[in-house]
Amino acid sequence: MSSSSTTTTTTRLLMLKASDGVTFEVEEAVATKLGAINNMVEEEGSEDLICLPNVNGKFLGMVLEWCKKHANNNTNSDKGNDEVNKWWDKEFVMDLDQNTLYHLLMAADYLSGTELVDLLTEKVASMIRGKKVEEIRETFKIKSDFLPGQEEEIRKKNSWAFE
Amino acid sequence: MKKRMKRCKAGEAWSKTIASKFMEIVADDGLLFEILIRLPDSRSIIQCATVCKRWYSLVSRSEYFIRSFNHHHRRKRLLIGPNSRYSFPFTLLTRGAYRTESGLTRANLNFLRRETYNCSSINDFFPEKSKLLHQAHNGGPPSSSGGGYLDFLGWPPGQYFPLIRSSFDDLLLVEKTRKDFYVCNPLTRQWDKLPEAPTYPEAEAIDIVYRSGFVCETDSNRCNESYYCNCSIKYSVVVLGTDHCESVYHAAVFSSETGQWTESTFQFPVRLNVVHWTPVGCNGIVYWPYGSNSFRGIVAFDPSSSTTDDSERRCRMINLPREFGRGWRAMSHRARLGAVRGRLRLLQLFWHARVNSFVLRAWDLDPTTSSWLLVHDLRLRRSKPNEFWLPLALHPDDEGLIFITRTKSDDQDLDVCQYRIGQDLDTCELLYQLPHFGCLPSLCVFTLVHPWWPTAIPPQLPPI
Repeated sequence: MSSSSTTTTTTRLLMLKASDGVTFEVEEAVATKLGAINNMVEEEGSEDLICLPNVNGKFLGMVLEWCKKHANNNTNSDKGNDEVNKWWDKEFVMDLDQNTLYHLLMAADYLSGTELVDLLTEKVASMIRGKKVEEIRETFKIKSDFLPGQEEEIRKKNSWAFE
Repeated sequence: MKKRMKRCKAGEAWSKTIASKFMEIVADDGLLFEILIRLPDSRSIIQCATVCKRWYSLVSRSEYFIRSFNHHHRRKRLLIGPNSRYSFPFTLLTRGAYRTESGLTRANLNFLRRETYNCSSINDFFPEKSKLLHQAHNGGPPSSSGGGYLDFLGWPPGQYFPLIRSSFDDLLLVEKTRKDFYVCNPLTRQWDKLPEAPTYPEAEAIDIVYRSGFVCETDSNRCNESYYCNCSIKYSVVVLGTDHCESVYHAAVFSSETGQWTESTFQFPVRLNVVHWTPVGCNGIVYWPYGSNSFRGIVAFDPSSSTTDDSERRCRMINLPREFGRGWRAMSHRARLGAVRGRLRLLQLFWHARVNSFVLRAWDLDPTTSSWLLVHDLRLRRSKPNEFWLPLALHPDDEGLIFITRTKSDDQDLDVCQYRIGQDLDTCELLYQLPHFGCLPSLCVFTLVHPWWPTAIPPQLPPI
């Protein structure tokens, strides 16, 4: 990146250790896109190794990949950045299977990656959108636990929404 | 890099197995909440409430959910930018008097009274885009029964017909008799009957003038950030009456907060003469255009003012903008008043032979100074010499969009079109057609705009 060559401040590197022992070396500017890590760095500034026992290496890697893209794109003050980010986000979530999506979402939430949570919840919402109730249950393997008649009653009360 | 002591946060119990049952394991209600508020509309969310108990409990009866849902969508809309073409679905309700066998003439149509409506038809039409209101009404031909979308009021057919008096966002004020008013949401079919409105001894006199209007506000002061205030609203209904003594008005104001009508009398110099102009509620004030055949000015009534306030504070007159075309240009069918994103806007459209174009102008009212700001001033060429355009309504949520009607001399049907201000008139999008109307000025239009979450009518408090 041309921007890093022009700045004289040395970028601090952090070590992040996932639950399965895999470690990642990342620039502070990248890792602090995650609220939880930002807090740790600010509160106990001297630590260079941060353990994340709740996140598996595979998913931590994906989360960091997302952070890196966004941190890089944000340092470029081009106007097209938003577009680039959007395009890249789209690619990022496009082919996620439910298992990966689930773990990423939990990881992003645990690490307080607000923007990433936003992206991933939006993705899940898009999987619900336009589906009938039965299809939603099917997609997410949810069993209806309403007592007989309860569901019917909700439909009746809000009949306008079911026409 | 130096080796340092490992610092590991004591992990919470987080020992879930791999998810094939995605939603059951999204352990955190907070995340499910975040997912559900990202659904596009209230309809799909309410459908989702029947997926399982957990989803239902997150969505149901929760004002917090609705506020978060609104907040999310508002933020998203702001991110798209103020110039975005994204706008809420709308419904245009059009009421007009047909020329019937009994032969209503143009002259008396201009002064239609309630009685006259009985022998003509009440019609409500929906553009294609507002199928939201009732999916069954697939933009088919308009029906004379009012589309049946107010049938939920349960009035015996043929005996009463709902006379819409005013609209605000997605709510309607409907009159059954001069004493009986209803507030309803035609989408959710929620309705509430107001206590009997006070009438005056002269009420049966034929030339008593009645005006009713309706305005909603949130009970919080956060209305500035959201002009669609559909959480915990309060509303006021105003009925103004005057008899032969033209300068004295009786005002009856119903407030949803007290559940009661308050009566008062005040002096006002003009007679609110024209029946077909619809009142506009905006920022807590009800506005009526006045004049007999043409716009003379606008009357603003503040229902929140107390009956002891002086007349000026209760009811004041707003002069028309300086640039507003007077004389025949100000004829009632050449100008429209509406609320656009929380602002009162006046629109005028007329043919100007000397410049061989239509002139379109629009003004916004500054409510504090009561002065007008000219926001559009355009000359529009017509491509076909026999086309004639008139304004119909302002889009309540898109300031660049208006509804206009097109007539051709060889074809009496009215084309209702959507026009983006600034473009050629040819680019108008035809929405639907109104059949042969007896008289254009008798057309009366109410706009409904459907926010992300339908407005709930607040329960009336019982009178103390």
